[in-house]
Amino acid sequence: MAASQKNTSYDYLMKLLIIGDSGVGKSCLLLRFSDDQFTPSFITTIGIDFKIRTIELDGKRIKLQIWDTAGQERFRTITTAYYRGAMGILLVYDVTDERSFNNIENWYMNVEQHASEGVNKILIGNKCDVDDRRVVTEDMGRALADKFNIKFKETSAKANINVEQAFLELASDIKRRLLDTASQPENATSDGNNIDINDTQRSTSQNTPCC
Amino acid sequence: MLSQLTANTVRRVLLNSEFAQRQQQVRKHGNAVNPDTRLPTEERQARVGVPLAEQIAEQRRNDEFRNEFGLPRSEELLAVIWTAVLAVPGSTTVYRGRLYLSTSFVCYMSQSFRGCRITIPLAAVRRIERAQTTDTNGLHCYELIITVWHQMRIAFRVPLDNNACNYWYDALRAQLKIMVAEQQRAKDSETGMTRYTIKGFCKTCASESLLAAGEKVSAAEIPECLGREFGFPGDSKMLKELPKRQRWAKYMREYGRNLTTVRTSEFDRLIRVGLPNNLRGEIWELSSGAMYLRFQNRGLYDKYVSDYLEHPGPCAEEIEKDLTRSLPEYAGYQAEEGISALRRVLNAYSLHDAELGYCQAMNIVASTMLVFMSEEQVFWTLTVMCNRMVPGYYSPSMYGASLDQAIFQSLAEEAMPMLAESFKRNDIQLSIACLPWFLTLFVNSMPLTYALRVLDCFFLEGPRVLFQIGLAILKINGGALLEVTDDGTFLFILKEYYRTLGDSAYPDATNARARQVTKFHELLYVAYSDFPAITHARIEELRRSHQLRIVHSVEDFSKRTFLRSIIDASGFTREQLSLLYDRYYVVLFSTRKSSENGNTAQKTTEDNGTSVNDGVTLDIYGFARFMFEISSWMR
Repeated sequence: MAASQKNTSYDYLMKLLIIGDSGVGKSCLLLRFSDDQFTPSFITTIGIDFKIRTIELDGKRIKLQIWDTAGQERFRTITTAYYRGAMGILLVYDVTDERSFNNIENWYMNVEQHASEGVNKILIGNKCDVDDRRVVTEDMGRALADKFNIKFKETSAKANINVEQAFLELASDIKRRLLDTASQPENATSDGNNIDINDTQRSTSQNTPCC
Repeated sequence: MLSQLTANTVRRVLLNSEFAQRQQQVRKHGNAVNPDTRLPTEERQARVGVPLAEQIAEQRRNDEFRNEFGLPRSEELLAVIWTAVLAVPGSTTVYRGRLYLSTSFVCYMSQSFRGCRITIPLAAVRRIERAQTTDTNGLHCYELIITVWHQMRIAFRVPLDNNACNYWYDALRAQLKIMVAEQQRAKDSETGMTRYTIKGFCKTCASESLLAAGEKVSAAEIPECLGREFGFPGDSKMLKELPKRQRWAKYMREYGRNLTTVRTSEFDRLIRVGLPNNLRGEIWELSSGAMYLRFQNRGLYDKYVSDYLEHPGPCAEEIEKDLTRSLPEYAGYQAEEGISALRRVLNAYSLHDAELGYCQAMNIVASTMLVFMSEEQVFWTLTVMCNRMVPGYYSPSMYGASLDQAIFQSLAEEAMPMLAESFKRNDIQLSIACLPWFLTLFVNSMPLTYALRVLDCFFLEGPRVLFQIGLAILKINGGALLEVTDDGTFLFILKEYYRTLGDSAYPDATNARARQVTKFHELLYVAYSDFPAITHARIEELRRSHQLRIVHSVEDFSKRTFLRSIIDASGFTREQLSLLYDRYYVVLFSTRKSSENGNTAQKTTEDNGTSVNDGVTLDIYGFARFMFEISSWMR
């Protein structure tokens, strides 16, 4: 983590949020993306935690602040309070756990209710390397993503499949929505997002203490 | 009195809304009501002839008494002597305080600041005497002498003209008689023989083997816990294990051990400097009061485990997912032994308290305790935590966690107004960092050896320690935190702080001793010296005054969640559905209340498997009332 945080500067700060049932591999996805590591025994995420990685998109340095949440149902009262600031959300299920897939509908409704309007979303079917215990097919995942009209990727944090692509794709969608077309009036609808853009510009100039 | 009534009602409202959230699980698994979360008897039985005001006052007295001494809910106060003087054996110190008698305990609490506390189960009492004597001033007085099983004598002096003394003494004799009869019955029936016997219980106590080792305390056996096989965290030399053990052995020889411990200020001091690893589990159990529950309920844990093996509860799957994610760096949890011990404890607990079930964070706390405690000890310590120390932290709505966050927020605003203002300006929520501190009792924030020290203090002093340490962390890092403009940096600063807790707090000091003071020492010092006003009573009071607001938001959230999940609204509008929801719960609330009063006998015999009691289903009468409420044609 220290290595990825020792960047010198960035042009934009983006806040992403990972949600989904307990045990689908949210923290592992994040660790793979931020540190390119995998550990099968992670401590349970309590409440909320975050990691940082800076990426480059179309010549711009973008600092991704990625928030990882507790998955258990009863934490929802608490975690939904943190949805507001997110610019992109990864909805994660486990392809070997049907219930986690069925619950995506609930997670999606939670996002609709608590996150900023127009927030970018992507559906992730994790653990796609596990063939023998798979119960959710790729087609089922894609169909659900189409129903919500959001993007879809099957990933494996363990085998390092598609993890990078999933985060980058979400980041570039956000960039397209908020930054590339920021001058157009229809993108200025949600004030939450605008505040975030302003925040990032301010923190760039201040060179925040954490970097 | 009003606050007592409110507390009762709030407890019921919360149970109601939580039942609603867990309806399916409870229905699937018609479980017994957790005996320790049952409402006190006074509340369930409207006794004839006793005025309500008196009943409530009595209930409050009992609550306060039980909280003070960490006693189980089943204990009821029988007699009090308001002035009793205690001369501690082998010491010149004299205490003045109150002597209590409850159903199965003798308790004493001195009034002085650095006082003395005693909680002794009647089963440990071998002899009682009452004699007339003269005190140091030459005045006549009564002397009450209690001799415990290992021959320690505790003598109280009571002024002669005290009628309460005779009443108390007679009540004690009566209770002892009842207990002896029960022990005899248990012996005759050959079942649960060990249940009331001290000897059997003491075999499970580390203190006994420490004392049995005599001078060679280093040779004392390690009690049953994961640490015995997989080792304890930290370096035993660095932690000064041996001298600590010697000091405890000395204390116990003088003031008794496990069930018969006389707690002086030295007891508290020995805990605050950090417990030796092989006594840690037992002292946690003792200072939290879990030991008394375990003593009174021997065998119950095994019963829950065998229940679980036969019918895994609704939480078994959730628990399974977290077993390897609890304390993964500890060797015991990389082996089957640790994993299966944790599995048994969490599952047994989820059956014991079916309303609570299982909440993430409990796995982290329980796995830490298992390093120092037997499964049974962990089970009862969890019970005490969930019912008394941090109530509602792990319940389905987690209202207790939200409640304490609200309190912490207001305490922080009071103590550090500039910081609070700066956070507000930058839209940073304190709870983003602080919620896990409270839920895991700092175990997942601090390095383990320091978190254990926090736990030592937590079990001794209760939840106030969490607030004090939390505030101290904010205060120590105040300078850096004032500069923070986003929540990411906020978390980052705190993580860095935790990572360096073992570093010197004054690295540039010229004095070598000052350089040795670590940031953790500084933290404990600031916590205790800068926030002494945060007492147990203050936290209790704040919990009462904040709870109505939290209950409202919890209720509101479950209502919104429920209404959102309705797919077929049958032509009702959102407003109409909301109205129906409210009406339904009003009726449900009142029918539940009346059935609770009526069915006490059925509930106490743990025999409620036949009736549908999932908490959200109305019976036919309730339904009729509901229809009456919402429609004109029913009236």
